[in-house]
Amino acid sequence: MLDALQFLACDPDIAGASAIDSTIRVDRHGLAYRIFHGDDLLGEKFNVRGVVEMVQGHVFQLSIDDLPGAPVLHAACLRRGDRRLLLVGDKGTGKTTLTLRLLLHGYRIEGDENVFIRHGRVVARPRGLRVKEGSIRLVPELVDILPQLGYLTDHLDQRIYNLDPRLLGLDWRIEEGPADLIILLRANHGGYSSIRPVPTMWLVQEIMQEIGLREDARGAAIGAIVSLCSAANGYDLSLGDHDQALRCIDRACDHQTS
Amino acid sequence: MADLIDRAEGLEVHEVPDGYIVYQTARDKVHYLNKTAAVIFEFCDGRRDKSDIVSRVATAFELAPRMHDDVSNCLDSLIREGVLLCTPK
Repeated sequence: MLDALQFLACDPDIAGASAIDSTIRVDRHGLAYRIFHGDDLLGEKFNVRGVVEMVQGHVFQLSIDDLPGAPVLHAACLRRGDRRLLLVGDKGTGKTTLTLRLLLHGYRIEGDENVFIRHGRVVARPRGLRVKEGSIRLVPELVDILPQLGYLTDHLDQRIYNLDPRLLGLDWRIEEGPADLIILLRANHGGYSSIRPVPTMWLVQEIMQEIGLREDARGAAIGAIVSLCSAANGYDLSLGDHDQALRCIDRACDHQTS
Repeated sequence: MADLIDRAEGLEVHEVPDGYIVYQTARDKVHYLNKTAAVIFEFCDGRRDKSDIVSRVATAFELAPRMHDDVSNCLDSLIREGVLLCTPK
């Protein structure tokens, strides 16, 4: 069980107030596992995978509760110098692999999956990078690292590893701030990569499709998204060849500073 | 007598460089108004009727007469969506 829970291990350097400790406990109970947060029983599961998924969901819920009203955007969050960029894309667009390539190209990671939006600024949800074993083909630097890591298997029995970016020799620091670039990813597997700027209105429309809005305070959440998009430069990246994609993103970042 | 056109209650209007993003709280719906639609929306202040608004937008954008129907259609669309309201003079 402890090995499996390593899949959730995550300890980035986080700017701001000190973290608050919470204790989540897993007890064996006959054939089942019981999961507690403090003295509260969260649920009962009959296999390790179920336990990991329940703990993962609960930790995510704690982070949502910690930022009430903040919409959650499905996006990777990276830094280049003092600029922050968000990569927004559906499953299967190649976001995770592109993120890894950007890390090895000199970008810094804050989070690879979600950001919370507050007052037109973002803060990445702390979570280790989820790397599929198939990524080794595209990012050979992972060959020696992945076998040492905690993992779960997906419905195709493919391993998904939990990677601390510091194992790649990189910093991992999360802080709240504006997004300078928001890049919408569109899969063009096997093809060329190209990038083009998009107007703010389009950016907001696309972001709205990737966002989790809570039932309460939706107007304020939409306002926060509009503020975020208005302050950023939006791009649409047709993601095919990764080397070309890196050059496209470098150019967009350089254009941002010029 | 033609109705006056006004903005509905409960709209949250956000300005972006290329128009307005309007959140309609009653229907929990987001409307994306391009720059022209945003200008049309601005003219709808409860003091003008449809023909007056069409005329003013046409003047502002130097629209050819054949384009007046587009402005009128935009107003109709916003009225249908409940973003704008018609009230008797």
